[in-house]
Amino acid sequence: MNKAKNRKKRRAVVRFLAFSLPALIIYTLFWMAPIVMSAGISFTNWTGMTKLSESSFIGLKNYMNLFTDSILKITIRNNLVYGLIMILFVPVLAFIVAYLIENFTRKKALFRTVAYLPAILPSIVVVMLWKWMYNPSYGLVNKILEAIGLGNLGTGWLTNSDTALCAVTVTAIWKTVPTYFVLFMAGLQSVSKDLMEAAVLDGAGRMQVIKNVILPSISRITTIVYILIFIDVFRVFDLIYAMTGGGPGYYNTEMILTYGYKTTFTNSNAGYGMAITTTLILFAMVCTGIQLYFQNKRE
Amino acid sequence: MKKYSKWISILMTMMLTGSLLVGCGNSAQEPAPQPEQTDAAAQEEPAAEGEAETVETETAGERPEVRVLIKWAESQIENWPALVEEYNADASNPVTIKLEFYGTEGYDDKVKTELMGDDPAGVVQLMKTTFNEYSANGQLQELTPFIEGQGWDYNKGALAWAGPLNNEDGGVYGIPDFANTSCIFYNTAIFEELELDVPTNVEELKAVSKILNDNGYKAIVTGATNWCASDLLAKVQAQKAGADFLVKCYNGEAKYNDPAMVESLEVIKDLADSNVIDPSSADYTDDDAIAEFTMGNAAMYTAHTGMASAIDAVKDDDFAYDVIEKIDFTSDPKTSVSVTWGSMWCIPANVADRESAEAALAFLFGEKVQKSDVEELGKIVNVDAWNAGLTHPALTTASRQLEGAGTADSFYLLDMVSSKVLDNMNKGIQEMIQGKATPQEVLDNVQAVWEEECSQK
Repeated sequence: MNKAKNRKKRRAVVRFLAFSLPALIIYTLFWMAPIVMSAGISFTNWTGMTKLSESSFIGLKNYMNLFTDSILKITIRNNLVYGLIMILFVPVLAFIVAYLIENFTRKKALFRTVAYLPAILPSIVVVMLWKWMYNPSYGLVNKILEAIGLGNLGTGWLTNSDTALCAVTVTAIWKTVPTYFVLFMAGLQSVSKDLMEAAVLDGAGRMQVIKNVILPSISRITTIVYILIFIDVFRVFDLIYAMTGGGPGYYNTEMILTYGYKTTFTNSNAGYGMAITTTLILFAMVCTGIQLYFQNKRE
Repeated sequence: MKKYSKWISILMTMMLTGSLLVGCGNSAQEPAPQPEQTDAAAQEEPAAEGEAETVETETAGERPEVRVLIKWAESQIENWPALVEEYNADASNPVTIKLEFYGTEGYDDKVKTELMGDDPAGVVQLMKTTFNEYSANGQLQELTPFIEGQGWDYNKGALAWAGPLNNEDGGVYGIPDFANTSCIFYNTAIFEELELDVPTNVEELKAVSKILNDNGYKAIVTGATNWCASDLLAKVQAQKAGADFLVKCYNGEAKYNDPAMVESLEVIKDLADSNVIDPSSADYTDDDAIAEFTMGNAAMYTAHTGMASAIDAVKDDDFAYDVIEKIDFTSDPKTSVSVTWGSMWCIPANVADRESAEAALAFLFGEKVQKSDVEELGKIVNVDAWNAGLTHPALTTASRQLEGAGTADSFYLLDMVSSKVLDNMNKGIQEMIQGKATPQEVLDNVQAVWEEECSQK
């Protein structure tokens, strides 16, 4: 009896390992190991141009430098502004798009596909498209403004220090909303139809149904959306790097990650660059943990 | 079937994992193609994006092969592959050369990896900002005896800065390629139409610009979102304070916000305020500025002579332009010409076979290839006598300007100081042209960033 039980247990373990080990190995090799190595390098003065063995351990010096770095302060401010706009607009827009498609369209599949298109476009294609739209000489945005008599508002949207961050954020919203509207779409489909019908029979209007039935029913998904956007906000790199390179002017669209990248690879200060990214990872982890804690507590 | 589905799925997972890991190994350890396969393979299969495009024709069995890492695309030195092929085919030459073209993306990381490894390429091309750090780190061979052995009659200024900025021993750690001079291109047709004389100093430049503006033309355009506006500053700075001043800043003996630097930047600010540099430049990349220039909307474009090829690529056949041969931004300029080079060609300090690497370098920067560069590519090279084959009007002017004038003082180093400082300088100049920062503020910021960088390192 015991033998059979043990064999069954062993088989379960083998099966578990067979399915989880490949993913675990890849995850460890390509995700965890670089993160741990980066954290280790952040305690050295490695430039990234010589062998790592030629660098020295400098303790917390790189982390102390974070507090006096004037450019880092600008990038944190930019990240916060960018993040705030993203967190305010993306979930709301994603929910509205999902709700409209779910409730007001007949050809749902077609609209879902069209609405999802920006998410599957490679970032570099999105960048080229929007750079063309923002071009001061022949861009669509300025042409539209001219056509409606607001030509004097036209500018080099990506090269003007006052507009560049907003212009980049609009592009990011356009690219990001479809990713989350799919999640809301799934959430909306899981809301109990009976509950909604009961609410309508009780005299609830459309807004009351959304507020009192739909939103509470999809609160788990909403939390996930917020967490993912929050993490995305600090991971923003490709759009910024390809669209503005952190400019124009004094780092007007420079983000923490693009600055970390430049510090490591362009300015040859790998130790400090790794300190920036390690701190960012820790910060994102702590914030996500806090969000999850409160979500669980609320539930 | 259902009975075996569990085992089939396990097997498939293992196969997928195995193939992934084998794939990882392959990309790093792919054996070099056999000599007889190389040409055919190169013709049949264009290099994948991000991978090196190689040109290799090894004919003699035992000659050592020297790899040459090149940041430029093959189209930028399109004459080299044929010349190298010819060199390789001649069995009397001591080595074979393998050109590896990488393009801009990922090149710097490739070089880092090579220089950190135990078997680096024999010759590497380095840009100014990274060259300074590699040479300061002692990662490059000292080349003085090699260059003296070749007997090349270099322009006096060409080798003056061929070492790190704190080059106490005056060593030469790289061969500079094409000489570029900071210049102002002008549209000869517009100047003829308005009967304008080519300006030779700031006052004349302002007067000419006013006439141009009055006739509906933009005077000077530049790519302020890139680096060409900084190029103009480099020229003014070299005339006002000299190249040595920037070395002092780098070594902590002077400051970037010194009055001499501020004065240089005020010249640029004054040109922007008086519409000599058109305000639209603040939003322009170099492509935008060149488009304005070649479409005839702007009469002048400021950059360096290396941009002539970019102008030629987009201009109409009947568009004619030249370079302003002499323009003084100060009453007593330290130098009449402000010159730089595109990049440095170096031999890594840890190269396994130094002799072979030197043989390859001697061929690539010897008379035959360099004269071909002049004639086929229209480049200005660092040996004045080899520039006789130039035919491009603007570059002939620049070559004449350079002849005999290049000295250590005439070399501009603005883009050789730290990447972070240069980046900050570019951004500051853009803010200044947009009217959002004064020259003093720009340079105070540069100095602050430099001090921060020094403390971080």
